[in-house]
Amino acid sequence: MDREELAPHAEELARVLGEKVTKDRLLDELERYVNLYRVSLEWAKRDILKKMGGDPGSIGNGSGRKSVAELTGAEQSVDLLVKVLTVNPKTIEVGGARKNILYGYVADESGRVPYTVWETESVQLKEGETVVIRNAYTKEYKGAPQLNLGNRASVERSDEVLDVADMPAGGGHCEVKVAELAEGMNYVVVSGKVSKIERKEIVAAGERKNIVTGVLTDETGSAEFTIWKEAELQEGAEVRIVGAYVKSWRGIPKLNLGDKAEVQVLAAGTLGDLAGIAPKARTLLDVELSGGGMDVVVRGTIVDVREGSGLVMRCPECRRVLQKGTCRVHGKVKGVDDLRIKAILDDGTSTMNVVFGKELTEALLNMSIDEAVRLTTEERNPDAVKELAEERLFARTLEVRGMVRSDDFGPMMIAREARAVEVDAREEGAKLLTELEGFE
Amino acid sequence: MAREVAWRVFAAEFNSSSYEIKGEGEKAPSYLISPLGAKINRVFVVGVLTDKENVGNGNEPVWRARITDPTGTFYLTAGQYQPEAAMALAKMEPPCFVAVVGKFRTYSPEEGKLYVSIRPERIGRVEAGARDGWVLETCKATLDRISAMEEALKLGEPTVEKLMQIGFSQPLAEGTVLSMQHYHIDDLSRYKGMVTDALKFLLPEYQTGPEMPVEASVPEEVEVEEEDVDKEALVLSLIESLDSGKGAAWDEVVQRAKAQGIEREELDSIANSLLDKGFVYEPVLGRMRKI
Repeated sequence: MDREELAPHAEELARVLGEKVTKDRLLDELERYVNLYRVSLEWAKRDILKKMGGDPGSIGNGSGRKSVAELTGAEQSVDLLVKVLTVNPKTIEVGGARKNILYGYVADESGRVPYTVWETESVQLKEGETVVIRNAYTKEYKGAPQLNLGNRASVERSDEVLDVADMPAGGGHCEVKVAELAEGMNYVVVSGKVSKIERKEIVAAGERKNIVTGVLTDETGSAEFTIWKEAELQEGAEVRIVGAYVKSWRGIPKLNLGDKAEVQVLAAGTLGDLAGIAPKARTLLDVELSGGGMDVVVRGTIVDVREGSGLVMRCPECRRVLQKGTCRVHGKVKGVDDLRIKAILDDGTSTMNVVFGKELTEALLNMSIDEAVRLTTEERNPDAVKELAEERLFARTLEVRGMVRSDDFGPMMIAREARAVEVDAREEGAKLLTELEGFE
Repeated sequence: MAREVAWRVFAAEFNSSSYEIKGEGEKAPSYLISPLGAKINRVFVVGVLTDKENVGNGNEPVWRARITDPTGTFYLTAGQYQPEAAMALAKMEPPCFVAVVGKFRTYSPEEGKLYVSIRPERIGRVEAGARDGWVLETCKATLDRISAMEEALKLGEPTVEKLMQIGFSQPLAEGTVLSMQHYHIDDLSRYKGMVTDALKFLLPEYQTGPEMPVEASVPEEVEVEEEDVDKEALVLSLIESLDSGKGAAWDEVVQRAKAQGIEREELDSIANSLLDKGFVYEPVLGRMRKI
């Protein structure tokens, strides 16, 4: 390495060591270590720091200034010059204590990366600011680097102007899947097939405005979107949406495309065949954290059948469930029989309420509504069907698909499909055992 | 408030839990931290109901039951506050396959000792396939916990944040950190062995029944263990027979065991093993009772 290449590293050492040592002296040292003794640059820097009385820990693996695109997810200490795109506060519980963190995206001209600030007292970030982040570290999550600002990190405002305005278009590896959309996300890049396109005229701030709404579907799920301007969009087109933001309504994330967002139309077939395939099953914890979705598939065990399950009477006017033959709104009415099951699904990661309507209840209990009415009359027990449901469904493992919303009691699914999960425990067990013994 | 998740844990892991975090205030949930960091409030178990007994009376039944899995035995108690589970238990004839959802409860006869059992909320009969499915699912869940523990050990000073950054869920990260503080486990091979044994339980080629030839390569430890189990059974029956209601006097157990050829030192280790497994407890110092 020539002196020119080594110069920035000498500068970095000088910064750590302060005024104690001149930059030229450090450059000489570096040259000696790297070129004469052929010590790797990283170790050379550590050794020199140690020799000069600095803290070798302050520059770690992959140390020094990097651009976002150069991040590998294994940096122990890294400096970046970035623009803060988004700042979201969040409270997490750590060992029973509440802790405030910040998360969002930062970007430079090379790309964009999600970050988390773990020490909000020492590090403050503002949206739109350009900053130098020092001594951050990275981790790899789902194949992409994540930037972490821990207790060693520091942040300095910078006057440099970074051209990240059209950044989202370039942020290749920051794409998300529909199932990963969550409240508060900004600058989202997501691809899928569009359907149910509608054009509407709204009046916003006294002005007439044309907007476009629809549904975006990929192999993980579906989400509604709204484009807040006129847009050309064909039903069934495959698109890449760049720079959208996410707002949730009752737990269901929705995509919003503002002025900065764009829709790129992809060649037909780019995303493969999305027709008729169900989204992949997600864990209940994952669903709980995202809040919900229009089209969600989960697997779990029925651990409880709740009150209100079984044969119910509904008001013929408003479909409300009658209490002792009386509707809350329409008073005493002649009720209509209906069947439903409200169950709790649990997969060991979290739980979810699931409501099965008449058809699914009939299928799950293998019993028609007429048979249910007969059973209730014969046994003179209004809970006969609920008790049967407990007996037949408790501890059953099901795969269910439907729409999931969230409220104070957590997520709730209105099921559209349900099927028993048949697991070949022997085959899967043998596979797992081979994997395990292979490691020993 | 969100419902507590039902953890999938094997009996061996559940029964060796000795760290309880009591919820403060009226509605705050309590948790049992297992050695592998399951932060248990509720469990889901499928196994064989091997025994049930009404320890209450006809009017106010209190059912005690034992459910076995490939690693050990779960102990259940259902009384008047678990009417549905108690009623269901009353109708069951062991042995049969059952599924249970319930909350943990603990019993501490003396400082430093904690026995755990399940207070069932719901119990129902299931098919053998459901048990196999549960064993597989529980193997996977246990392996997840083992890998979180391994990462935590590598970190040296694990924190919830660091574990979450590696990709573990928040509940698992929290449980793992709590477990590390209490159990100081540094060797996970015992738990890995438990999982491989449980997996072998599912596979017919590993099941040695009377109709199958005993393989020559059966390791010797297995035989020794069987002998241990026999002696444990012997001591357990001694304790039971010497118990006139307040527990068997330890001195008598020592004498009778000696007559059967079990020396004091060996008896101590057998008694400790029985205590660990939750088969017996000490109601007062110097007395032993079968649970």
